[in-house]
Amino acid sequence: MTRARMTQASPTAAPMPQAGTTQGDKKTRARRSDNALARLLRRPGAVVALAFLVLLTFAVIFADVVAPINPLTQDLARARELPSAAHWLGTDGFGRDIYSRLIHGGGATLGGAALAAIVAMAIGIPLGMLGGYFRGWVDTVVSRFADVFQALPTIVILMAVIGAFGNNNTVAMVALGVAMCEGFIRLARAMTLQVRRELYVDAASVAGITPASILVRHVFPNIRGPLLVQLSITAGAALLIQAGLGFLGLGTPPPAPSWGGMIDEASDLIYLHPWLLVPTGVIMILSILSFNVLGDALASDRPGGMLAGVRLPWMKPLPIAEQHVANSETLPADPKAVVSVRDLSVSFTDRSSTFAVVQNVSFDVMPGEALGIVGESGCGKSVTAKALLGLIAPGGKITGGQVVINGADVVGLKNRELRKVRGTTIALVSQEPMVALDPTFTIGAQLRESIAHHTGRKGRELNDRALELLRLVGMPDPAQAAASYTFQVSGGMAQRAAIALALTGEPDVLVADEPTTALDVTVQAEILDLLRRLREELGLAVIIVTHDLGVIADLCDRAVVMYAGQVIEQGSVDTLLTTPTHPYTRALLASMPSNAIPGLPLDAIPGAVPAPRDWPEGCRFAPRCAFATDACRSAPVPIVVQHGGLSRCIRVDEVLAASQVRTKERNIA
Amino acid sequence: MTIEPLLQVDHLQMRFKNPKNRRSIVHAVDDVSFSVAPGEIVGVVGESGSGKSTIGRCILGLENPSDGDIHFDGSDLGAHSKLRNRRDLASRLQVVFQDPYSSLNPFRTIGQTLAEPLQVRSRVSDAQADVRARDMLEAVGLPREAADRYPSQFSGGQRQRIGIARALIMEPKLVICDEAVSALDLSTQAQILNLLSKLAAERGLAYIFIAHDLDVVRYISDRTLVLYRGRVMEQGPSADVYSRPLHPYTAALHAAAPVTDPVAQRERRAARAKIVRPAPDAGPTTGHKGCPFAARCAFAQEVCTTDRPADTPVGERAVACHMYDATSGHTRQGAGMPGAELAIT
Repeated sequence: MTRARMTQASPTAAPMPQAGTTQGDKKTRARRSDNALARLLRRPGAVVALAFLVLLTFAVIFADVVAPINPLTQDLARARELPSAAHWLGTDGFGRDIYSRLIHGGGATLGGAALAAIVAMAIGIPLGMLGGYFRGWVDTVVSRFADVFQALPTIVILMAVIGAFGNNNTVAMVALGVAMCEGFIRLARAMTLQVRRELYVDAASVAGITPASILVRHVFPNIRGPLLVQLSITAGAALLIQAGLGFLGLGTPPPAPSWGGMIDEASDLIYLHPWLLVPTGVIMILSILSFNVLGDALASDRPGGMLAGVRLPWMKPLPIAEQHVANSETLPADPKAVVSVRDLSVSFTDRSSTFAVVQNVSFDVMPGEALGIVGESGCGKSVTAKALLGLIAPGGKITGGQVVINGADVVGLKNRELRKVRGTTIALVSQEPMVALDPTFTIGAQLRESIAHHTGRKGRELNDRALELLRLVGMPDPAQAAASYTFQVSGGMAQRAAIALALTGEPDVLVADEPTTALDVTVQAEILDLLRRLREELGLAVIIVTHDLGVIADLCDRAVVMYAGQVIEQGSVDTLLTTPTHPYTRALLASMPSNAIPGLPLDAIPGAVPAPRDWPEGCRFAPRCAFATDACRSAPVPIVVQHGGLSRCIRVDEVLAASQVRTKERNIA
Repeated sequence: MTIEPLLQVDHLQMRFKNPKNRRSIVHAVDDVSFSVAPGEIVGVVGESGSGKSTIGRCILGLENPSDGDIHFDGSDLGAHSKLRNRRDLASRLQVVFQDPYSSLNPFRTIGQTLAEPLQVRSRVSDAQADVRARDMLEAVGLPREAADRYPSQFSGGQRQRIGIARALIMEPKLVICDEAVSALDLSTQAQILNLLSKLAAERGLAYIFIAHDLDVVRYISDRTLVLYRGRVMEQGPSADVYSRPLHPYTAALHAAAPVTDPVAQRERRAARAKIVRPAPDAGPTTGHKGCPFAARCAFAQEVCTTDRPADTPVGERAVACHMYDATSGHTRQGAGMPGAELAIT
């Protein structure tokens, strides 16, 4: 495992089809060690818990060897002693060895708890899975069965069983297991209902796999985690109940040792010899704690994932943090621009490293202008847009640069100061309108609250302004829309309401982060019409983040193309989308089905966007670029003025020539 | 000479009770008929709620249709089918799903996922199944060692290749691609479209290619069905449906998809304004009786809201529109007015 990880540490030359997640490469040798136990052993907490339980179990099984003193031998002369060499944990009220009684008595308690938990699991999981998978009458029967056991008090069942079968610990624990199966039934049922909707279950069913195999191979592994937590909780609870029975003198009748019985004995001497409670209490706490720690570790286990717990120092060298590089060639912020971004860099930190996701991004947005930020997923476009509002996901931070909004740099402002800027100068519309809007309030109430907050209006004025805004964003019936909840309106109408909400503070700039991606194409066209109208009527500047070059063509004056955290091309939309100067922009345009040359395969870009840790040294697009030379790969390429725009490419002339050839070919075809 | 179709769907219906209003019924799929010839790629295009995915799930047996017939390769799979055991179909009818993240079991290696149907269905040995799984991975452009890894170690595009490998390992005759490229980035989408085209040509596969993107459907499919609220608005050869739509909805869908040339996009926007009523002025929504697009259609007359338009055959094509004028081949703009050409550059 360790060696496999070390070999792929070099960040250069992303391998073409295999480039995906960083973990993926050269992992074949690691296969053998990637089983559940190996993954478990990577968690220190789980290792300690497992070791404790294994040791305790062995000690209990080989009790006669581990604790040779007879637990029943009384020695009244040496009663109520504190720990000594002869009696490691002291003696009880009859002078019996506590250590020995603890080990010999563990069998009844630990074994009983394990038995109860296994019985509960063995009954509950299959029943719950059957109910969840087949639904219908099977589910009804299973659910009623669970209801019955939930309604019956456990202690009553246990008393009844002990009454009928005599004072037998094994029978009592099996009965306890049956009484506790209800939790497993409900959990397994709920989880199965969820997993059976997954597409791989559909795919298996299309492939002709029988329901029994689907349940065992596809459903069970995916619901295992929470069930293991349930198992650990059940084992802990069963241990307590078994001890409780012992306390009542049931299960294992005295003088035979049991943990519950020992607590009972300790309670008699609580003032005279309080030490008696300590060994039993500690071992029970540690046992239950170990069950829970182990359950938690198993629950979050996943093959091949990043959830391998804490990274121990010898496992992987920490990548060096990519620092913000100050760019001396950058022009100062433009005073005429409403938003002027200079050298903006954003880094994220996870468990193992700090890595840049956005580096040295600069652009300006003039009042009333529409700027598009375009790129594929993972290029940093959305992080850039959100950074303008000071909104960075947890773990991320702006590591350098300026964001000048209306003449003031907002980088480094405190949250309280940022809140004054957000909404009133710069506002955000996100991809999911349902995220921006609260489903528990009407659209009108949310608008009124936000208007009051930003403008201090009151009473009737508030309502009038809310209706005015809803009319402005093209709601057919503003009064009805104001009285609606978000779940009562369509996705397009919800996005209109979200735009109205963004406009309550009368901002100068609207940042729209993929505002139409979740919408149908005909609704998208309407939202774009709306944004265009708002620009005209309010003089609003718009920064739109999108992966769709058509959206840029429809709405924007200028565009910024991003790739692997950098701006690679910037310019007016009319030239950028018709005669791109960067090979990536050109390749994106050529890969679209609408720009295909009839009869030929699509001009696909080979490989995939590299992850932030795998960015190449030189031009980041070079490994996928048809125009790349050694010069491209050897050193970072600066972004410079080329053919009226900015381009981060040293082979612009070749790119333009190739585009002309392609246009001719396409026209002929 | 007519070729026996591989798949024939007749008057397929899928009705649900409306979850918001128990008394009303949602017609998710409303009287849909079409056929797929062996080796043919049929595109099904529509927006959300058009019922396009439901049609695919009915054919796959993942939903039980309310009514209608489905005949596939000699088997009756329709609403009145007595076929309880669909297992024999697995080797002939397969699926590639949209979401590459939820379509692979995270706890099974790629090799296990690919080999499973082989071991269950064809009684091949584990070693043979493993070799075939690795061969299949190579055919979809992945390294053979990918079989030893788990889904979490692959990117979205790679997972979609694995999904294709799983579908093709049984050597099916028909694969239903349900939004198979919709969740992918532009550059990856082109790779997967090329792969699907290549595999179809090499292996003589038929696809039902379900998508919301008219450009993608036009690129990959021989024929296209345009669906809106569960009904087929228009069907015909893809190039014709795209370059000369007969139904105003097809034209609206086409005009709404933005093109990357800013000048052409301005023209397209102007064309859209003539076909679709602007959103705030939308007419009353028609019930189940009329044409579902009437409320948004710039050509709609009273008849469109009261009567259900019949499928009018036009050569190889069919259109369901009251305003389609068979003599001129254009859409009427009301009584006595000249027809309008819906083609959009």
